[in-house]
Amino acid sequence: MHRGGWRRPSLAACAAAKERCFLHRRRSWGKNSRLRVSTSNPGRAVFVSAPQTRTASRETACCYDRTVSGPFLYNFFRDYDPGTGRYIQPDPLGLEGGSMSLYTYADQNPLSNTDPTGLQFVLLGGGGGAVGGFGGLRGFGGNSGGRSNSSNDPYGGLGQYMGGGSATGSSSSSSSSSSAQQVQCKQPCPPCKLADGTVVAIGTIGYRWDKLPPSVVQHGIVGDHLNLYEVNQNPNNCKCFWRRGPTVRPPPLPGWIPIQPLM
Amino acid sequence: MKYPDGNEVRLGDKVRLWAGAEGVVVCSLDTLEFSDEYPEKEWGYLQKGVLIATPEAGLIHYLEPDATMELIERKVSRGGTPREE
Repeated sequence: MHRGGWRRPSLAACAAAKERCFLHRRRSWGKNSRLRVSTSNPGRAVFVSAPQTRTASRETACCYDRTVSGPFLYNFFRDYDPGTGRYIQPDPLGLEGGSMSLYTYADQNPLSNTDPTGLQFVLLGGGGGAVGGFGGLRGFGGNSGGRSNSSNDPYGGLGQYMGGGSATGSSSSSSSSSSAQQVQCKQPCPPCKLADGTVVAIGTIGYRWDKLPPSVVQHGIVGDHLNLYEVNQNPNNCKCFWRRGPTVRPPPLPGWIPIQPLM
Repeated sequence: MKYPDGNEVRLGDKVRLWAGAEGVVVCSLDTLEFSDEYPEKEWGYLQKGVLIATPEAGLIHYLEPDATMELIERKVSRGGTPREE
């Protein structure tokens, strides 16, 4: 058993032991992981511990799903990389998310803030449930901006439902923070999937290709057009669904998929 | 939300979304109508539009009606007659 402590663990030294080998790292930014190192291939290491086993005060991301995110931590809207202390995807809210860097976690202050969904950071243990870096989930851009109560932005409230745990917090103790985090982690939604089991991220664009003769104008577009839809997930029951978006000219962009039922 | 022909979209409506795709309105956020399977406490957060269940694409949330959307059949009320607008 090799313990990495605060130093970077040596995979080579571990593999040289020629035995099943675990490396523990207990560091900030959620780097409280346990790696199993293959003795035949020392360059290959996999996480073997679930984030729920981590120290509560260091717990950052909510859900670990190796099938989805590999060594990253699934955080609803984004995947968190404990190795760098950053998200691997940019903030879906863009610069409107409140940070100049689109990849930072919890405003770069994990001791005071948490970000259980990847959309907004929340002040841990705040008496008033302070919320920062917030905006509507825009996706297609038709419902931009807006806090959750905006009457014309039903998707702006997603964070309100998913990150509401701290809003009721009344203590600034670490136990309160831990409790709030546990509430977030009790019912993590599984990822949305297609019928064939393929995982699709929230925000994935689906399209339906209307093949029409050039003489036909529909949705203001002459001839062929793509009807777009966006993958969404109900935070209350985890059901996945499509949200109708705009209609555009072909061809579909890379990453778009033909619309089909979501599981 | 209204169909292109002006009729209000109501809970239980059987609709044609596009050629070969039909569905049933399971929530009408605009009229605060929710089916038992899609209760308000779970789906009310969408705030507006309609939710339509289709075999071809699963659940779809429409904020605005599609030009190709049309009413096929209105759910019959308990009295045995189509619900009035």
